[in-house]
Amino acid sequence: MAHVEVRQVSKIFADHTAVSNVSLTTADGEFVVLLGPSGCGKTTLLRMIAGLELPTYGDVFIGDRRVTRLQPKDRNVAMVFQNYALYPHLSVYENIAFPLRVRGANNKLTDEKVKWAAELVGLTRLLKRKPRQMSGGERQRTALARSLVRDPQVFLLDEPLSNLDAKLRHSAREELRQFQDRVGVTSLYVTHDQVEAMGLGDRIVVMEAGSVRQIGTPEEIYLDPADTFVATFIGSPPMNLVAMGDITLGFRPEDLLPKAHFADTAAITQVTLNINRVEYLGGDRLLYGRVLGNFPDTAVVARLPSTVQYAPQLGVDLAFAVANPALRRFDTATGKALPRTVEAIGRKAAHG
Amino acid sequence: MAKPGSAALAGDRLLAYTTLAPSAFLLLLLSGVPTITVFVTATQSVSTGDSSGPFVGLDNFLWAIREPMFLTALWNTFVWVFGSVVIEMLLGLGLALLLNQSFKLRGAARAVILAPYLIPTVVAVLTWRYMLHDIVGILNVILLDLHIISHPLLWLNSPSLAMFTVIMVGVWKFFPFAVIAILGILQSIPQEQYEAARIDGASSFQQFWRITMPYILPVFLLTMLLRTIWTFHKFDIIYLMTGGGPLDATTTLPVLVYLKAFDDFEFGRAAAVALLTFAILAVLLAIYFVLIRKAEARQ
Amino acid sequence: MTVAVEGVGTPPRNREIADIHFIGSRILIYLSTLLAVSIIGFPLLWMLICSFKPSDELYAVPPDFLPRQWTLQNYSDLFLQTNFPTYFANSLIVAGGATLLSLAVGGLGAYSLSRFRFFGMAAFADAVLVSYMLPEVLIVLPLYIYVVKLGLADTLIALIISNTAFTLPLTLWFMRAYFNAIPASLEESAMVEGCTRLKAMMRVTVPLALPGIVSVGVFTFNQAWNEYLFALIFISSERNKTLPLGLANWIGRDTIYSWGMLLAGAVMVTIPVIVFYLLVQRRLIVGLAEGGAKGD
Repeated sequence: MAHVEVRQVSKIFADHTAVSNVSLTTADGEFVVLLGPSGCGKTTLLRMIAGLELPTYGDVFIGDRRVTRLQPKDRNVAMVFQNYALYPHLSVYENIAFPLRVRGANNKLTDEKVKWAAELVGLTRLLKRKPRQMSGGERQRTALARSLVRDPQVFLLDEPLSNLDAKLRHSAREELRQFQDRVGVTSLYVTHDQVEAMGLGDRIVVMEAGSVRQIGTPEEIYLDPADTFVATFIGSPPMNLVAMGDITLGFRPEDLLPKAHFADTAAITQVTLNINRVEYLGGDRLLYGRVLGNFPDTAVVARLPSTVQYAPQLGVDLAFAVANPALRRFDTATGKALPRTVEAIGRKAAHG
Repeated sequence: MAKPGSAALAGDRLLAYTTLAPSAFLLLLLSGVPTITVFVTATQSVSTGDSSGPFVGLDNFLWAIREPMFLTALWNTFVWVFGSVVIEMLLGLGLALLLNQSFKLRGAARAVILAPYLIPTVVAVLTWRYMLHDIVGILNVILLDLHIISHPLLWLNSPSLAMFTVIMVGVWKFFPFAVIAILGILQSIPQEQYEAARIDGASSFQQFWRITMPYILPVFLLTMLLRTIWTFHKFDIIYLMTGGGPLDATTTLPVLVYLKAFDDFEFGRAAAVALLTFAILAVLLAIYFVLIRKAEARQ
Repeated sequence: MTVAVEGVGTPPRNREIADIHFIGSRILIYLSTLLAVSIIGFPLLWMLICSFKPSDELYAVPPDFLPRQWTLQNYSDLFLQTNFPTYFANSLIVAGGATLLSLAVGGLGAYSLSRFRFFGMAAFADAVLVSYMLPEVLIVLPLYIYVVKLGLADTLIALIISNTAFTLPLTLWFMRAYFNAIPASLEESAMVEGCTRLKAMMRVTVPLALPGIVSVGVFTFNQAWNEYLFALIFISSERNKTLPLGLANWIGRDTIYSWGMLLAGAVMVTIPVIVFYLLVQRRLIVGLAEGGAKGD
């Protein structure tokens, strides 16, 4: 096991910059998720760590070894590809054995290791199958077993769940996390799916346009987004943003509640909400509307748990509120988060 | 019964048969009936120009298998096919692997490598015969200059060298087919296969034997079989290079059929040789069909 | 563990070229490509260069690589002193005729082979492939009998029709693949919108298949343009000879026809092929890879 460090790394392709000056360090055994929209450079970053791409600038360290120029095979990393990259002409057994075979391991050792890895991911009964005879989930587990079989120092996973259907994805996520806890190998996991990122990561690295926007635990990223990009990229529906001159006010949909819901003494900011549509989702309701009154007319969404007794009326100005601690402030010009000073916001809102 | 994904409508059947009828008619006329005619001709003693002659049963076939000329042609055909196909496939594989790399001017290199396949056979023969000329031919001049040979070689006029020469020219003309076929399948190998193998620790050599070869093998074999079939019944390049000589050294079965029919005017015997040729070819064709079916079933 | 996003200073650039293995493999690739291209391309280059040499240089020992004196004499001799223009015109007629016939007949048939699967059609598709693989020397024997019987010996029409024996299967096979690649749903949507099957085919499928039709046309033309055996057997008079036959008859008679003229002729025969290659470059690669043109 080893930590991974990326130091001032950039990757410039002929026609565009994929990664620009990124630095980050993971702890031993940590599960780090690289999250961002497609084309943000997260996969390129992962491929530079794997050794499939040479960084244009900067260095990559695994353990304390500088590996920037090493071939993938000399880095002792394992990678699970988006489409698993299983060898179609080999059986599951031979797929898992491949890394050992090319290293010239003897048959006895190979057999032991393959059976051990297959056992770990629950593939023991499918070892004779060919990849094309297996379901998406089984292929994913085969890829996992193959990456596992030679005790890598680092696991790299490139959207390994994106080819699974929604139901399977949930259980596979669960298995993946349990599995990582068991083997405890440092893992870097690329995804564009924030639910996956929140569920899996010890820490999340949010990337956009080749740069890192924020690094933090799922809680930190959700509760204290570093800028408006992170604020709107994380959370579904995203954080509501209301621009008020130099400052942009942000609050999560679940924090926008009917005023009656708060105790009289609570420190709240009043919001006038005019609802034009209600979406019933089972567990909660989404109220689509506009904030009016003291705020500039802006489209917002409120999320009301079904347990809250409330019958929303459409097209009428309603009294809603946000608890002051839940308010976030951003610099309108740069989008960067501003330090929390609750009173200031409350006053400004009250005075319009 | 219509193909899945396409609805059979009233009138479709009529449309299908009507549009296919002209093709079917022409093929019957130009392939079906002629094939049957050859069978009839082969059982007759008929000279070229006549449409039929006295029935002689299997005499023509019996003549053929006892005729030293036929056995020579059979052996020559084997040498010609085996030599050409093996070299074409190895050369094709090597150059396809090369062209599968990305480098500057790859398009231009590919065009040059493909060119011999596209030019008419007669052009290839003309050019090579000038190059192979005993005295003024550039090939002898170069080889003498490089001291690879000590005296000019009679490329086409020496019985021991003629087959080698014809194979060399044939390979030059036809190997691009193997390049293109193999290149096509090489380019369809997903890049991740190699990336995964690199991460798993495979060297370039291991990547070739463990990923590339198993992946391209079906197409490689199919291409080889196709080249075997076509090389087997190739007529023009040999006939134009040597006319089957010197001393029958390059007379293959198709050349023998032509010589029997249009030099010796023994049409019945030519037909028998043509059918014996076709019988060998039929075995190859049958293998080809089985392999094609297998490939289709796998998809 | 600290995680920092730093922006100070730019580290030195990592250049791929600094890697010894990278340089090594590049050099190897370029050297072997250069070697392959020179050997394979040389005969054609030599043909081109020598067609511009005056006769005395063509017989010089040892020869110079480039002509000491460039001349178009061989080309003007070719057109003025030989029947080359006649051969050229005959080849155009034969190849053009065979192409049109194959496209008209085979295009229709290929559409049905691609879209329907009624009784007997699968067997027919196999028969098409078999007839494409039949040896020329096998069917030329009976065709010769028919041609003589029908009084078509030494006519271009006999050549056009007999060429179809191989160009028609080629057309059927390739056009079927092209039609297969066009989703049937496009036609179905046209039919739902009120077209008949025939109208949908003409309005939707044929325009989409046009690039395919063009490239099959090129393959077909090329095959008939290069055809030698049928011409050798069916044609006897000078005025009906095609290019391959005409040129082939000159080979070995270098007392009558100079090598220069022959090579000039070879260049002229190659030019249409090159033009067509440029026309369908991309599809040609795909087509050949699918196991198509024999390239005679």
